[in-house]
Amino acid sequence: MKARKSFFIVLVIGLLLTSCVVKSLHPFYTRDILYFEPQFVGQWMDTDSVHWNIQPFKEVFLKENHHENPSELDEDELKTYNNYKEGYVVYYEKDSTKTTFLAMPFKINNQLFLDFTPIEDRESQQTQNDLYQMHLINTHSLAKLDIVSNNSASIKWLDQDKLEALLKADKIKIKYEKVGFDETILLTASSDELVKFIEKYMNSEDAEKWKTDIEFNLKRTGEQ
Amino acid sequence: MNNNSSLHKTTFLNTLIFNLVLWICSFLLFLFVFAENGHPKTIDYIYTGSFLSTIIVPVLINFYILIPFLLKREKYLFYALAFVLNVLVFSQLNIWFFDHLIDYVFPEYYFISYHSNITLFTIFSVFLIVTTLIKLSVDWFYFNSHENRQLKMRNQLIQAQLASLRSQINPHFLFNSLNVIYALSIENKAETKDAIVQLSDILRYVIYDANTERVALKDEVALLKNYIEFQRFRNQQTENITFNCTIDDKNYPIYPMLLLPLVENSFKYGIKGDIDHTFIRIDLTLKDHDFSFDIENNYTESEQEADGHSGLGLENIEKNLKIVYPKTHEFKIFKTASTFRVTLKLFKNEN
Repeated sequence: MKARKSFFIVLVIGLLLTSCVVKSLHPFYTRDILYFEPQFVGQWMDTDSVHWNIQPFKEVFLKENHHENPSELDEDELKTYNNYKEGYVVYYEKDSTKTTFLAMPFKINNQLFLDFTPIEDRESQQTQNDLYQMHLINTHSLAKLDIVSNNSASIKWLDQDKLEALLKADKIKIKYEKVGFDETILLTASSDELVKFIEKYMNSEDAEKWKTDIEFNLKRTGEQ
Repeated sequence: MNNNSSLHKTTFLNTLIFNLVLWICSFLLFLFVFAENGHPKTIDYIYTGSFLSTIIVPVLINFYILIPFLLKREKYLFYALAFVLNVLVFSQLNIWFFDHLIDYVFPEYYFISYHSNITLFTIFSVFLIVTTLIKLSVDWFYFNSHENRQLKMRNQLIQAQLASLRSQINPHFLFNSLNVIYALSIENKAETKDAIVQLSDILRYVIYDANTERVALKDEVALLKNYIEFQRFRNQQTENITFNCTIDDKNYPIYPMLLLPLVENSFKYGIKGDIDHTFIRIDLTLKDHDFSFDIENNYTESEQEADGHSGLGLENIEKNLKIVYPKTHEFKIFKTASTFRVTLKLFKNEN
């Protein structure tokens, strides 16, 4: 009985945590629109005192593989390096929990976006056994990045409610599946289609199209 | 004028019905292709309508310009080139429409996960090819039924012509026969009643058997023999009448009453024309489906020319032959100062 109760508590917490952003099986970008913005690199803090450490992927990757130059990488490493060299590694630290994301920056109509994918969750990995982890798959989420000044930036995730409203009104034809107990919407459209969707969504007349609960206003705390 | 107007009205109606059926079926087909899961939503209806609106112009260009002016005039190469050009130009416009214009036309709708440009191009090309085949099939159907109607009309016309010609032969024959019986009865001859019976046999053949398209040659020969016997009642010098008949197929089909007018003609202008040197020679042969009829009689030009009706029988036979044995017969008339000869040949391929 106790075990059943805990299962439901975990499920409810899970729902609260996962039901807010639009998730996709494929990246929200295509290679031709990737755009590395050096200004975003550095230490940032948001209003909830959450610490964000943004580092260029290529530097982190070379460092973790103990190389100084991409020419020293082996074939597989070089492939990964080339795939994500325009990206950032985002170290997200909140209430002594640490998670790491891969954030791929891209520009559509002069607007910066980030494609977020979780890479590492140290706490979860410690508490979850191997079999559990084998069943997990990392999805992509879309965030709009506005670098307001050299010292301030805002990140707004695309809210799932917005997509649900469009689907409910039969105003969008996009490939998706409903997965899990909570029937979370998982976009299965190709990256080309997702870019097309973002372009169209940017032109939407909805004044609150970027209104979301998942919004972070960042202030720079250290050097880049 | 009224016929033309009615024809145009029917053609317009057929075109309208054809297009209505085609575009309704196409809309339903595309709706389910684009909806994919079989449950079309509002956005699918809009997308399908938009797709059809971009494809309707090239299809109509193909239907009403390229097919009638190039394909049906056998300008196949020009048609193929124009068809490809039509597909390329309008499929490009279609792609451009779905890439850019549709967002301005329907700004509230997100047409994201429909078909790729390549798939759209393929659908576009296949649809144009399929509609071309449908259009050609429908045109063939109308052409075929029009041809059938024309054939029926032509057939009816021929039947009317034949009936008209027969109606000229029968009274002609009857008139001559009654003259014969009249002559016998004036002389109170005992053969009168036999002559009436023979005339009755002849008329029965004419009325009942001769109304079919073809009769067996043996029946036609029997008619001729009957007629010759009938004429013997009237003419004294019947020893100069010879009828040689050599046939290898008694059931050879022949147009009814074809030969009688020729024999009639010979009796009228031969036996009757010259009392001293009268003769009629008839040779009828049939060998390996090659039919030949050769009739010759004595002839006096002044009598023949004086009679205004002399050529009527021969003229009718010639008209008949042109209709019932087109290009498979040979009809010749040979005239000398004292003889009149007609030959008729029917060739093998007619049968």
